[in-house]
Amino acid sequence: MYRLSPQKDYPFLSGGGEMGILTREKDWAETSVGNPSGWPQSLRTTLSILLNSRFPMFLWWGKDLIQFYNDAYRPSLGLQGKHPQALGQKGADCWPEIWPVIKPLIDQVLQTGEATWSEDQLIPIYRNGTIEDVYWTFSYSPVIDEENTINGVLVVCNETTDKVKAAKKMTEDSQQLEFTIDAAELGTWDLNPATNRFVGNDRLKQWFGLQPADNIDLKDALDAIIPEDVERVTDAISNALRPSSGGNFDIEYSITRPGTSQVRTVLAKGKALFNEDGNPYKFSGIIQDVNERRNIELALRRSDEKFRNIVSQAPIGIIILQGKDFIVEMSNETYLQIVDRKKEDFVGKSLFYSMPEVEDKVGHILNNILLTGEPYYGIEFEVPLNRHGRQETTYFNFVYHPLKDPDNSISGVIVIATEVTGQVRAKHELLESEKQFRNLVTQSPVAMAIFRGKELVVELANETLLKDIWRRTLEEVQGRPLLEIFPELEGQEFPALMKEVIVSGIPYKAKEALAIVDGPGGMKNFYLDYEYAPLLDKEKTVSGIMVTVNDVTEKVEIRQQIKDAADRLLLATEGTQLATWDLNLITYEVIHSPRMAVIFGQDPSTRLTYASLRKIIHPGDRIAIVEPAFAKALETGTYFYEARILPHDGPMRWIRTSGKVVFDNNQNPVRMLGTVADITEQKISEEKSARLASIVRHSDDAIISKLLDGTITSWNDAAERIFGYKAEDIIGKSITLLIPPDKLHEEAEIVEQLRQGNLIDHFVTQRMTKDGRLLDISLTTSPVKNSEGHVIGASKIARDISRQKQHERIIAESNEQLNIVINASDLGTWEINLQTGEIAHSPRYLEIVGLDRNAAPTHEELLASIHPDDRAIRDEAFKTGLETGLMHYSSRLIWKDGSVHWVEATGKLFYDDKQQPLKFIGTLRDLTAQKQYQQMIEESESRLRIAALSSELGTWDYTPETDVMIWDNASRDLFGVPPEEMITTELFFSRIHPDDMPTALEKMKRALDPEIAENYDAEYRVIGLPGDKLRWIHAKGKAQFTEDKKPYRFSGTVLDITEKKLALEELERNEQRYRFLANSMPQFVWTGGPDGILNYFNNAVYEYTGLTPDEMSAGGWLSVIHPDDRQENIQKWTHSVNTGEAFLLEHRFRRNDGVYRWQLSRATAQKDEDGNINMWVGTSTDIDDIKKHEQQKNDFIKMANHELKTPVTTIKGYVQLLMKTHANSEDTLLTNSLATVDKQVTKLTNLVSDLLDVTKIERGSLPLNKESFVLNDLINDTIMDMGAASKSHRIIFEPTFDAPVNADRERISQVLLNLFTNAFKYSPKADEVLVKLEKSDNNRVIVSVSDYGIGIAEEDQGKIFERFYRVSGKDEKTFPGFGIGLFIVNEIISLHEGKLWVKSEKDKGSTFYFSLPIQSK
Amino acid sequence: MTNKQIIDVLVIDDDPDLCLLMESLLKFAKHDVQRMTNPVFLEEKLLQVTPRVILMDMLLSGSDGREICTALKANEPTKDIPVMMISAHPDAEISCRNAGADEFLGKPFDMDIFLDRVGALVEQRKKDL
Repeated sequence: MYRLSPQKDYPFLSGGGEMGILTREKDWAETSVGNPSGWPQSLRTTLSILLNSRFPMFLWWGKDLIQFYNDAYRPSLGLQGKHPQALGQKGADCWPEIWPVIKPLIDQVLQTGEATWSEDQLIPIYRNGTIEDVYWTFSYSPVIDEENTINGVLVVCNETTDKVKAAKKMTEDSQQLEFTIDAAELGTWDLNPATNRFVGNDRLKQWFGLQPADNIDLKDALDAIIPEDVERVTDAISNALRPSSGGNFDIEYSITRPGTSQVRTVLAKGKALFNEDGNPYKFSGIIQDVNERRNIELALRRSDEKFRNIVSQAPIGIIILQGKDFIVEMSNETYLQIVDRKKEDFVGKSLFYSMPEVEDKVGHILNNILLTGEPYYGIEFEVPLNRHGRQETTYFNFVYHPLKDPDNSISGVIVIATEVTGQVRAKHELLESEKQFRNLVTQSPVAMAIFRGKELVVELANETLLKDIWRRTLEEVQGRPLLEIFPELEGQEFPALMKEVIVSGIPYKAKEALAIVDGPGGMKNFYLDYEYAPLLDKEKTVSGIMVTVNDVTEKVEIRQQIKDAADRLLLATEGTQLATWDLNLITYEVIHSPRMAVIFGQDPSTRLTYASLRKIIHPGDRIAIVEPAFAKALETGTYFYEARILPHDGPMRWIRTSGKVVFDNNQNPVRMLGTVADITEQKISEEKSARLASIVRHSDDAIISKLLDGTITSWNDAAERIFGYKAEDIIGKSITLLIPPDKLHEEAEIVEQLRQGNLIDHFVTQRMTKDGRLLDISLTTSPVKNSEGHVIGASKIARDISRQKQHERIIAESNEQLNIVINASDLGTWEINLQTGEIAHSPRYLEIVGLDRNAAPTHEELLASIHPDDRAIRDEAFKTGLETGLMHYSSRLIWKDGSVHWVEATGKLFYDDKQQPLKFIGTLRDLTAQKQYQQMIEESESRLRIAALSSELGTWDYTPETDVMIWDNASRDLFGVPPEEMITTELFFSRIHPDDMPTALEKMKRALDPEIAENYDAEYRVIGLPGDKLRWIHAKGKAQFTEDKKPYRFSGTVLDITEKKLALEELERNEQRYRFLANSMPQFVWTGGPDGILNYFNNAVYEYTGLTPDEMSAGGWLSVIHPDDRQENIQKWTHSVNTGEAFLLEHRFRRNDGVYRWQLSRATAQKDEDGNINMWVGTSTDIDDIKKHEQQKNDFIKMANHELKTPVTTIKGYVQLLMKTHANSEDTLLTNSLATVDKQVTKLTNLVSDLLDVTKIERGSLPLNKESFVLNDLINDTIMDMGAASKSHRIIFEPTFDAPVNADRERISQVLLNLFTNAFKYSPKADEVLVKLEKSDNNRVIVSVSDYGIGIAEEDQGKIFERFYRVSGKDEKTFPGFGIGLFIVNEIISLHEGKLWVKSEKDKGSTFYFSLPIQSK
Repeated sequence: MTNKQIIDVLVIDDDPDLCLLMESLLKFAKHDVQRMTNPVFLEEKLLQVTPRVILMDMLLSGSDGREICTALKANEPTKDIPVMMISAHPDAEISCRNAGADEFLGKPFDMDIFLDRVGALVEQRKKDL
C-alpha cells in the first residue's frame, strides 16, 4: 500500500497518534472526499487541529458526512464497536441507532451555521458488544470552507457517563440518608460554627419545640434542655469545636417536651470539621430519642424492687434455686422460718447441703424440672424436715417453676411453698376417724340400715344387709322409699311397725320374724332378729329410724348384680353431639356425659369437676360472660351463654351452654341440668364474614360491585372518597357514570370478559370523579357468580394511582453528612438489589451481625445467621415489604460464637422507571441490650405471676395509716369485686360472713398489735358473690412495724379453699353420721389399731359393762372377760394381730350386775391396697341363750347316746347269737331277717356315735389317741372291712410308697370309712372307687378317694364340710344319711394338722383328698 | 378252804335283758355263768361262788361299777379276780382301768369280740390258779 509521508505530502495529517496513522493509511480515494491531495484547506486545517487535540473531537465532512475523529475520542467508541471502521464512514452508516437524534442537530448546524450545545445528554451507543447508556456533554460547531459554505460539523465532546453515574449514586445515598434518619427516628442538625446558627430537620424542631424556620439560633435550642443539663451540653459543644478534641461530640441529656412537663432523654452525636487553620467550618450530627431505653431500665429496676419487696414480705415461703446443684440464690424470711434455717447457713449453698433430709423426696422432681422445663405443683406434699431439733413429717402446698434464661435454657427453679402441716394432720385424723367408723358400720357383720321420714326412704344400708338380705346394691335402694323397693312388704308387718317407731319414738325389737323379700332370684324367706331404733335430730324429733338385723336363716347366695340402667341412658345421649351435665348447686358436684370431657379437650373417661371446668373457660369470658350468666340462671331458672374455652393443649374453642335450674319447694335452686355444644366452627365462619365486611369497609381501595348491565349494587367508603359519590347517590345507577366518554368502549370489553368468567387484573385506565376530574386508576374486576355458577355481576377494586405517578424523587444533602449521620447513629445500613441479587452493607451492619468490618458475607450466609425460630418472621416481613414498600421486623441472630443477639431491621423498597421493585435499602439496629432488659423485666414479672398463680393466690396490701387497701385481680376475683370498684375496708368487711367476722377481726387485731404481732392466718366465708355462691377463703398475712412500733404495712395473700373446706365438712358430716350409727347399734362394736390395742367401743359396750370410757381405755376391757377365758382370749387376739387372720372367739363378759354372759366375738382386719392392716373392726354378739340351748342339746345327745346303746347292744347280741345258732338253718326267712336286722343295728350304732362326735367337736373335746403306724396298712384293713360290708363297689388301692404317720388309728379309719361310704353312696351307677397315695412337697401324705358318681356342683363344694349339708341328686331325691360325716371327717383331719378338700365336676365324679404329716423317723 | 362253787363268769348288769343276753352268749360258748342285776348282793354272792372272771357294767342303778371294782381289788380274797367292765360311754375305758378293771369293752359290742375277750380272761385265770 502507498504510504503517505505527512511531512512531505500532507503536513496537515502529521502527528495525531493512532488516529493520525489510521487517517494517513486510509485509502481516501474510495470515499466521497477523495484523495487528501484534493481536500480543501478548511478540511485540512480542521483535521490538523482535530488530530492533535487532547479533547475528544469528531468531524462530519461533506454531503455524505464522512467521519474523522481523534485519539481522545476513540475510547468512546469502545472495544468492540464502531472503531476503526467509523473513520471515513458515512455518518448515517455509522450511527443508525442514534441518527434520528443527531441528524436533526447536524442539519440544524449545517443550515443555520449556529453551534449547538448539550450537557450530560444520554445517548446510548453500540460499543463493547452491546448498546450502552452513554452520557455526553458536547457541542456541534460548523466548519466553514473557503467558499463560505458550511461543509462540515465538528463535534467537540466529553463523555460524562462516569460523572452522571456518580451523581446518581449520590442521589441514592441521599435517599438512604433520608431513610436512615427516618428509620432511626433521628433528629439532624448542622451547625455553622461561625454564626452559631444551625439547620435542623422537622423531627428535631418538634422535639425542641422550635419554629419551622430554616436557620435557628443555638440559644433557642438550649432553652429546651432541662436546666441541670444546659451547662454540660454547652461545654460539650465548645469542646467539640476545639481541634484537640478531634471534633467528636457525644452526650446524653434531657429536654422538656413542648407544652408539657414531661422529659425526653436524648443522645446527641456529631462531628466538627476543621479547615487548615484549625478553625471549625462545619459541625453536624444527629439526636436520638433514648427515652424508651431509659424507661425500660427504670421499669426493670422497679420491677425488680417490687419483686424483691413482695418476696421478702410474702407470708409464703419463696426461694430461688440456681443451677444443677440447686444453689439457694435467694430465700425470703418466711421460708427460713418454715425450715428453721439461718440465712447465712442457707443462702449461697446447695439446697441439699443445707436440707439433706428432703433430697429423697424432691431431688428427682427438681432435676426433672431442669430437664423438661415443666412446672411441678405439689399439693399437701409430704416431706420430712429436720427442724427445731427433731425430724418432723411436714406437708406443703408448693410450686416448682422453672426459671429460664433469655436463650430459653433452664437455669434454675423458683420454689413457692406454703406449709399446710396443721391442716393436713387435722384432715388425716378426721379422715382416719371417718374411715374407722365407716368401716365399722359398712363392714359390720350386723346388717343395718337407716330410713328417713314416713315414706321410709333408705338413706344408708350396710354391706351385710344389702348382700345377704336385700340382694340390692346401695345405688338401687338409696333415696328410695322402702315399699317402692320391696313392694312385697306391703301387707307384711314391717312397714307398719317402722312407721309406728317414727311416730312414737319408742324402739321396737323382734326375734325370728319371718320376712319375705323379693329380689333377684325370686322371693325368699328370711328369719330375722331385728331392732328398730328411732333417730333423733338436733331438735330431738324423730327424723328416721335405724334398723339392725341379724339374719338367722342360712346364708343367702350372692346374686348377680343388676346392670346399671344408667349406662343405657348414657348411650342414648351420646348419640347426639350434645354433651349433657348435671350440677348439684349445693355441693357443686358435676355429673356429665363423656362427650363433655371431649369438648373440654379431655379424654372421654375423664371426670371433670366444677372447678376444673371453670378453669378451662377463657378467663376473660368467665368473668364477663359465664359468671353473670350463672348468676342470672339462679334468678331466672334459665342458663345460657356462648364463651370461649382454652383446652389444656388444644386451640381455643367456642362452646354454647344452656341449662335449666331445678328449684326445691322453697324456691331455692338445688340442681342445674343442661347441655354443652361445641360451636367453634360456627363462630369461625361468623367471624370470617365479619372480617371480610370490615376489610371491604376500611379498604383504601374503592370496592364496587355491579350487575352485568352495569347497575351498581355496592359502594364502599373508599369509593366515596375517590370518586366523590355517596353510596346512596350512586347505588342503582350505572357504572358508566364513572367512565370518561372516550373510554366507554372499555365497559363492553370488560363485560364480555366477565361473561366468560375471566378476571381482569390491574387494568390501568382512567375514570372520572363526580366533579369531572380524571383519575389514573388500576382496576381489578372479578366476576360474581350465583349458586348455579352463572356470572351475574362483578366486583371491582379500583386503586387511585395518580399520586404514585406524580411521585418525584428528592435530592438532598451531601455525602459527607450521610457519613456523619451513619457513624453517629448506631445503625448499620444495607442494600439489596432485587433484580441482580447484589448486596451491600455498612461496616457497622457487619459489626451488628457479628462479623468483621471488612467481611463480605453472601446473602445466604446472612440469612443463615437468623435464629431458626425467627426466620419466618423475616420472610414474612420481606414479603410484606414487597407488597407495601416498607419492611420492618425484629428477630434474633446467632453469631458465629453462638451468642444470641436481637436486631431490628427496617427497609424501604425503591422502584425502577418501570415501577418494578428494584431494591431494598434499609437499616439495622442492635436491640440486644434493650431486649435483655425486657427479658429481665418479663422474668421478674413472671416470677411474681408464678408466685401469685401458685394455687390461685390473691395478694393484698393494706396501709393502716391511710386506710388504703390494694388488691390484685386474683383477690378481686375471689371476693367478686369488679376491677373498677374501689377497695375500702368497709367493702372488705361487708364481704366477710358475719359468723366468721369476730374471729377474723380478732386475728387481724393480733397481727396489727405490735406487742403480739403474730402472723395473720384466718379462714372465713365470703358473701355477696354472684348466685350467693359460697366461697371459703384462707387469708394469710403479716404486719410490718416502724421503729416506734406502729404498723405501717399489712400485706399478705388470700386463697380459695372452698373445695377443700366443703370436702372437709362433708367428711366431718360423714364421720359424725357413722360415729352416731356405730354408737346406736345394739350389738357390741369395737375397733382396734394395727397394734391390736382397742381404741373404740360403742355405747352398747358401756351400757352392758357399766364401765366408763376412761376405765375401758385403761385396760378395763380385759377385766370384763371371764377369768377362765382371758388366757385364750389374749392368745387368740395376739395371733390375729400378728397374722392378720380373722379373730373368732366365744367368751364370757361380765355384765354390770356381775352376771357373765357368753358372747361370740368376731373381728376382721381392714387392710389397705398393700395389704397392711389399718385397723380392726370387731363385734360381739350375745350368744348366752344359744349357748345354754346348745348345752342342753349336747347333754341330751350324750344321755340319748348312752341310753340307746344298751338296747342296741342287746339287740345286736341276740341277733348275732341267733345267727350263730342258726347258721346252718335252711330257714332263709330267718337267716335273711337276722342279717338285715344286724346291718340296720350297725348303722344305727354308727349314727349314734357320729352324733356324739359332733357334740364333742362343737365342744372342742374330740380326743385323739395317737400312735405310730403305716397308713398303707390301715387303708388296706379298711378296704377289707368295706369289702366285707358291701359288694356293690370294688376299691382299687395303688400304693406308691409307705407312709408312716402318728395318728389316731380309729379316727383315721373312721375318715376312710366315711369317704368310702360316700363314694359308694354317691356313685350308684359306678362300681369302682380309686384310692391313691401321694407325697407332697412339704412332707405330707395325700390320700385321694375318687369316685365316678354324680359329682358336686361348684357352688356347693364350699359347703359340703358344713354340718347337716347333703348333696342332692338330679331329681332332687335326697340320699340317706344325716350328712354329718364330712363335717366329722374335716374335724378329724384338722385335729391331725391335715387338710381335707375336694375336686369335683357335676356328673363326672368327685375326688376327696386329705393330707397328714408324715412321721419323721 | 371253803368248798365254794367255782364258776367261769359272774355277769353284773342292772339291765336284765342285757344281763340275760350276756349269760346266753357265754353259755353258748360253754362257760359256767351266773348273773345278777343288783350289785347290792354282790358281797353275799361272792360268799357262795368264786367266779374266774367278773363282768360288770360301768353304770349300775344306784351304784358305780368303778367303785365296786376298786373295792373288789382292795379286798384280799377278791383282788385277783379279773374284772372286765362294759360301758356305753366309749371314753370311759381310762377311768375304768384306773379303777382297777383288767379289761374294757364298749357298747355295742360284737359277739365274737365279746366272747374272745371274756374267754381269754377265763383261760388266763384257769392257768394262774
